[in-house]
Amino acid sequence: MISTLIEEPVLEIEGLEQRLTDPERGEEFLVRVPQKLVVPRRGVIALLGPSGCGKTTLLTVLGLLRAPSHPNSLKSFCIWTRNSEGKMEKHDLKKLWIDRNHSQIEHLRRKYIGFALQSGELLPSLTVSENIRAPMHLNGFSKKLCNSRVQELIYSFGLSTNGEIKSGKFTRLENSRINKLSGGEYQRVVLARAIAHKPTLVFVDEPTSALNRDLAWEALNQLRNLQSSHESHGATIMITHDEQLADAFATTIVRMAPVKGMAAGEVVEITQTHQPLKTIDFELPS
Amino acid sequence: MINRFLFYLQLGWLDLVRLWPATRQHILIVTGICLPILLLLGLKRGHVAELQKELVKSPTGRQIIFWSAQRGELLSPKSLKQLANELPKIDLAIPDTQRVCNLKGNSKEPAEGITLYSTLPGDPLLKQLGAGLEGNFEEGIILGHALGKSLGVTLGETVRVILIRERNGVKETAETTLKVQGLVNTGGDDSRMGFVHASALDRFEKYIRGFRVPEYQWAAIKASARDGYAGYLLCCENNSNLTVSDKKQLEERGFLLTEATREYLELFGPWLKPEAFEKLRFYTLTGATGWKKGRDRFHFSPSEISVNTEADDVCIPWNPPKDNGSGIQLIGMTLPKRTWLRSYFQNPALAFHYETPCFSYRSPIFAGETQKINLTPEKRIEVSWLNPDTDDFPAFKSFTHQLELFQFPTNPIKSLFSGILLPWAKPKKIVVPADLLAYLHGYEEKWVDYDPEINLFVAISEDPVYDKVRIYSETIDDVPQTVEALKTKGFAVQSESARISEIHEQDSNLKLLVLITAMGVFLFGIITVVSVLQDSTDRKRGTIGILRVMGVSPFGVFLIVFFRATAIGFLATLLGVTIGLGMQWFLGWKPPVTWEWIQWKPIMRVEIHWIDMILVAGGTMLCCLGGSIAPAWKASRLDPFDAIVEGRFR
Repeated sequence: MISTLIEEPVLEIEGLEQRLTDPERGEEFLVRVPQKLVVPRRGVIALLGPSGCGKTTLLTVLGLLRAPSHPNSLKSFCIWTRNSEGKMEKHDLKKLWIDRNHSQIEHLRRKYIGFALQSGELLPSLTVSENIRAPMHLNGFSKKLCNSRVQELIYSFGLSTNGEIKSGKFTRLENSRINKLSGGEYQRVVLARAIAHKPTLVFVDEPTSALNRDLAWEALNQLRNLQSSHESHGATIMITHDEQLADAFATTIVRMAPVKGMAAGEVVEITQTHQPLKTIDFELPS
Repeated sequence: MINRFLFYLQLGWLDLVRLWPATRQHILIVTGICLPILLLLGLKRGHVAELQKELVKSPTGRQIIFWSAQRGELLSPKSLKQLANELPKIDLAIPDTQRVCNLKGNSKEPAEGITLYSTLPGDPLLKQLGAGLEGNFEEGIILGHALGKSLGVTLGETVRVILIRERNGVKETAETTLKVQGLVNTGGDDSRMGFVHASALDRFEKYIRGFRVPEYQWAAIKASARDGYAGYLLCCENNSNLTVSDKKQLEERGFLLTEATREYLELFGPWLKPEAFEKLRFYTLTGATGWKKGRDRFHFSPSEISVNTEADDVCIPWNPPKDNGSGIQLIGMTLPKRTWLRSYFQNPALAFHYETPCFSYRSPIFAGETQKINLTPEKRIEVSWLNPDTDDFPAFKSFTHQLELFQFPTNPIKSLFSGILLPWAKPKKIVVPADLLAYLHGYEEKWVDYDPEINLFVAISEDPVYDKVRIYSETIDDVPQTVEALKTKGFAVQSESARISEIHEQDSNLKLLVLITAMGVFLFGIITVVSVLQDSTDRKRGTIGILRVMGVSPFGVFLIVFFRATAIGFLATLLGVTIGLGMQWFLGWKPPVTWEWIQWKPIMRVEIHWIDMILVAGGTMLCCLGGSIAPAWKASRLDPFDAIVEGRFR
């Protein structure tokens, strides 16, 4: 099993049975993770599977956006984070959900988790840099730290170019409002915002859906370089339909499939690709 | 935590200013709620103000004249002040008094028969004529233009006020100088009137009534004050004592009759013949509760009392003996010239008779001493104690003789040494006329004054009494309330209260109308705001979702929506008030007659007060805050992921 190969896990879940109810249709859908799923430090996990098999549902549970429908039936659900002294700290999410400790769950989500969702959802009233800055503000970063991190991310994601023309002059892209961005720029800002506060886990939901492949691969490469570098404690969980992209980026591929004869989907395979971390000279697949 | 709170506010603010088209639309919707109410309030006030216009301009609008009439009390300055304090919102109360006098200015001839009316600083009647007394200066006068001209005086010059009083065919005049502080148009050249301070007019009145006016050094009329008595002593001989019917008759007249033979034999003992102790009886005749005091003293003539009794009694007007602080007791005793009672005195002339001059004294004892007695600060009597061996005042040769006659129930020696009979004992006694002692009591009790100019004890005038007063309430709106209060106190009242009440009624009807309309508008305003904000937050589901995903708490989402609504309410209030004030100006503006193209514009009086703005601001904020609670609450409860997913399709 993968868990035996990984020394430093950041997330572990086993025995999830997430039931979703559609009140309008009166239908129920079940998402299962019967085996132990461990997300290692600096790992990139690709969640693959056909549409409607419960990838996004699994992502919402792992990302602490939704409560497990039966937290008591979970065998384990933990997250490991580094505290201010650099020591590992384990948080028993199963217990937190059972205790309905929403404020602590919210705190963990705010501080240790980042999201880059399908449509991005940048805040329309903020500029590029303000959007990137938002998670840092929420986590009480100092102004100086905010500024340096924003500059680092803007540079890393190639956002330090000229933006819209205002009064006959170019404005910096970082100072542009969101509605002035191209699709690629938008998605890069979303990715930059997702990792701005140096989260332990970053969830990326179909990052390539709104981008052409070149842009998507380039952006993901940057994300992996920053989130899963040697100095980083973080890991990335990515939903994708793109097998090539998964092969190219993921250290672990988690396959999900519908359960025959049931309105359900489950994790059917967890494969470690041993994909080495590439930080330079990324080659596009043919 | 504070950082996060500030970040939420910042997000709310940026949402407001950077997504301006949506904000603008919301502000306009809310302004549309508050502006009509503001204008309605302004129009209501304008209409009422138009009705009140004439009353407000004229001092008679807030003037109330009231009379004592049949049931209202007569008012002294003190009670008038008290009444003005009791009545609601009184600006000024001026006694409505007047006095005819002569005035002398720079012209050769004085102006005669001038009527002076009372006024006070701030008198609205004079204010309307452009004049008034300065400060609380009591030595000022305001004259009619015509009168000023005939007196040859101008502003700042002085006139002499000449008062004339007549008593028993004797004329007296008094003068004082007043400074001309105003010349007003009193209507016509033959107007012979002026205005002086109410206090000055009271003093003029006091002089005319014969009293002394120390403020102007005006002496009283040459007549003594009435002498008043605490009670009477009735003296009878044993064989002609008061009968039962005498006692009954005296009680029926309200007197309290008490036998006090022993007490008064002790008092008069040194001066009585021995047989008096066997034959005389003394009774005190007092009011029901004892000796009378102050101005309430008896003024009956003694003969008026004794003539009605069957007994052959002698009635002595009586005030308790008085020690003026010099160790000498003054006993006021006046008897008829010829009365059997005198025969019981060792010296029948000891007691005075009714024609005796007031400042007289007699003493049978203490020969050879001279002592000064201060009657009043201005009046001092030098008493030379006469030789008791002379014929006029035979001294008591033997006190032992009296002791034999005087029957005390217990140790007589002790009683005698207590200081009553022995000449060297204290207090020493002198006899003065009963009216002098009455005046000395009156002087002490401040109802009699000594006038050194005429060497008489004269009556002190009581406070002036007003039967008619004009008062001014603070505003015309306070008039009906004051009128009601005065009517309750039994005064006859004249005012514009009926007209004012009618305006008030219209005002309250309009208020009710505005209130009902405002309630309806604000109620639907809240519903509109709920609906608008609900739509707005629905549109922002994706944004709210990502905020929640990033870790913004439900409270943070609530705060962002609520703050935005508050800011919209504030901006809508500003816009509404600005437009309202602009419309107030425009509706009241009268275009020049040459601008024919705009002559169609109606001219309407709109009065928007601060209170209206505050009310409308309050209502607007209530709409925005009340209307934002439900959408803000709903937004804060959104499931983060659902919100994002649903937001994608909006």
